[in-house]
Amino acid sequence: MPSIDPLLQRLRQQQWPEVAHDNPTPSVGQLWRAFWSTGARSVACTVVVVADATPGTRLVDVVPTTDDEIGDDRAVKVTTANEMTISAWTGLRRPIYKFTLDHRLTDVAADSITKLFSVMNGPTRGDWTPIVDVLDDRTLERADLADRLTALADVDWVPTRTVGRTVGKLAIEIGVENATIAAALGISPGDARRLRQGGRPPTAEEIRILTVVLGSAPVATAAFDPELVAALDEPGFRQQLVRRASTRFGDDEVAARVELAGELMAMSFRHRDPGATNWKEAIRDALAED
Amino acid sequence: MTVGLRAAVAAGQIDEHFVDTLRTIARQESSSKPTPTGSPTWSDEDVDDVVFDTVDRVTTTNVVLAAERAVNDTEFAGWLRGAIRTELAQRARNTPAGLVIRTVDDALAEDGQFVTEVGMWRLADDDRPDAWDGDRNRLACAAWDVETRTIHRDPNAEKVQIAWRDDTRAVCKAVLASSGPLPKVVLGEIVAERFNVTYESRFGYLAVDTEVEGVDDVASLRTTDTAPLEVENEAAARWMLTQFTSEERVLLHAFVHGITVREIAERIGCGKDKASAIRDRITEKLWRLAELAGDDGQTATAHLLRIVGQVEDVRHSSKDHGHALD
Repeated sequence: MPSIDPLLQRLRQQQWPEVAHDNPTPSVGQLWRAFWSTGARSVACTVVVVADATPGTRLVDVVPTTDDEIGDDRAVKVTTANEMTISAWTGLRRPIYKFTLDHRLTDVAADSITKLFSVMNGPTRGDWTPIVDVLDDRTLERADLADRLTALADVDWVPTRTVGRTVGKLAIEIGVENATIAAALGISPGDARRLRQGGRPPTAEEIRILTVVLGSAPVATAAFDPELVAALDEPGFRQQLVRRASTRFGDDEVAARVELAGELMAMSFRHRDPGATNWKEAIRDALAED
Repeated sequence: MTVGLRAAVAAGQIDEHFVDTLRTIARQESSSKPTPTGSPTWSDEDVDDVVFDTVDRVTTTNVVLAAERAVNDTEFAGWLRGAIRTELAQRARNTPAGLVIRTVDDALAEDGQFVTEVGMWRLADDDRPDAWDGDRNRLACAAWDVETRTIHRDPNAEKVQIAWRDDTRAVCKAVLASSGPLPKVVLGEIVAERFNVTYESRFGYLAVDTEVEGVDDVASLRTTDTAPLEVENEAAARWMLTQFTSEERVLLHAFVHGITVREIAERIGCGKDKASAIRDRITEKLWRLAELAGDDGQTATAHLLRIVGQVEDVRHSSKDHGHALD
C-alpha cells in the first residue's frame, strides 16, 4: 500500500475552511466568488452581498473583500460561519451583474454583518487607518478592487442593440420568402421563421450569406424578453450554463447564454396557451436536457 | 502548470498536485538563498519545511481565499510564489511586526523626549492618563503630516532599515502628541504603515538582502574608469530603484516616454483605476526622490532611467537569444 506523502499529511492535518460551493438566491451577508471571462480578459473577486437581490432585476449590491491584513478606514474585519477572517471594503460598494456570481463560499457571521453595516452606512470608522497619501501602498489594492468590480458591472452577455434593419425587415422590403432564406442558409423553414421574427440572432457566417441574399447586412442582434434575461442571470443556473458552455461552446458562456435565450424565445413564439411564460421553468427544462 | 489546481484548492481538495506545485516553486525560489543548515544545497526536508511554514504563516484560510480570488491556475500559482518568497525573506529578516517595534524602541530609548512604562510609550512632558480613545485615523493623519526622507536601503546593511532614526522619532513624537500614552504595538503598527513596511512584500519592493534585479548584469556594462561623482550618482540611482514596487519598476522606462494610463493598464494587465494610481505614484516618487537624492538629484534620476533602459535592453536581448532573465 503506497504511503501518503508526509508533507501532504502535515498539510491535511491543518484546519482547512469548508466552502459551501452552492448557488442560492443572493442575499445579505453571503460571501461569493464572482467571476467572468470574455476570452480577452478574465476577472475574479470575492464579494459580500449587502442587499437582498430583488427578483426580476439583473443587479446585486456587493462590497469586495481581501485577506484580513489590509484595509482602509471604510474596511471592516469580518468573520464568517466557517471561521475565515476577511476584510470587507465597504467604501467600494457597487452593484454588479448577478450572472457574474459563480458560487457561494460561506456566510458572514451575524455580529460581523452588524459591524459591516454600521461602517458602511454610518459614522463608525473601519478597522484600518485612512489612506491620505498617494504613496500609501494601499492605494494600489483599493484601485485594483475598484477595477475588478467595475469590470464585473460592465460586462453583459446580452447582445447590444445596434441601429440597422433586421432580417425580417429586409426580407419584407425586398420580398424574400422564408423558403429562400432557409435554402440559402441550409436551415429548416422553422429556423428561418425564427430568424425573421428576431427569435435568434444570425451567426457571423449567416450574416455574410444574408448580406448577398437580402442586398444589405442585417443587424446581428435579437431582442430577448427582459424577464427571460433576468431569469437566466440567476446564479442558480450558473453551473449548468458553465457546463453547457464547456461541452458545446468552447467555454464561451456568452455564446451558451445567447443560444439558450434564442431557443427559449423561439419556443415562446410558438406558445399557444394564454398567460406569461414561466421562464425559470423553461430554462430548467431546457438545461435538464443536457 | 497543473490544470485545475486553483479550482481544486478552492474546493478544499488538498492533494498531491497542490503539494507538488508548492515544492516546485519552493525549490525554484530557494535555490539562490542560503540553506538553513549551511550545507551547499537545499535538502528535500528543508524545502518541505519552507512549504509547510509558508502555509502555516499565511493560514489555510488565505490560501483558499487566494484560490477563490484568482482567475486561473497561473494567477493562483503566482500568489503561492509570492507567499513562498515572503517566507524566505522573513526567515532572513524576522517578522515585520517585531522588527518595527524593536526599531521604534531603539530610536526612542536613546531620546529623553520619550518615556516607556508598562508596555507603553509617551512623551516625557505628557501627564495625560493612558486612555487613548482608539481613533487610529487621527494617529495616521498625524504620522503622515510629518515630512520624512525616504530611507537609503543599503543591501549590505546587517539590519533592515525602515526609516532614518530622527524621522522615526519625529513621526512618533507627532503621533504621541496626538494620542497620549500609546501601547508599543499600536505605535509600531502606525509607524509600519507610515513607512510602508506593512505591505512591503505584498507590493513587490526589493528586499534588503536581494540584489536589484538586472542591475548587476548592467553593472558590467559600466566602464572601469568611471569618475567618483558618477559612482555616487549610480549608487543613488540603484537606491532609488529599490523605492519602486515591482510593477512601477516595469513601467519606469516607458513612463519617461509619456506612457498613457490606458497603455499602463494594457502593459501590466490591470484596470483604469489602478493604472491611474500607479502613474500618480511614479510621478510623485520621482519628484520626491530626485529632491532627496542629493545635490544633483536630476543626474541620479537620469542614471536611474538609464539603468532601467539598459535592463530593458538586456532583457530583450536575452529573450532574442532564447532565454529570459526572469
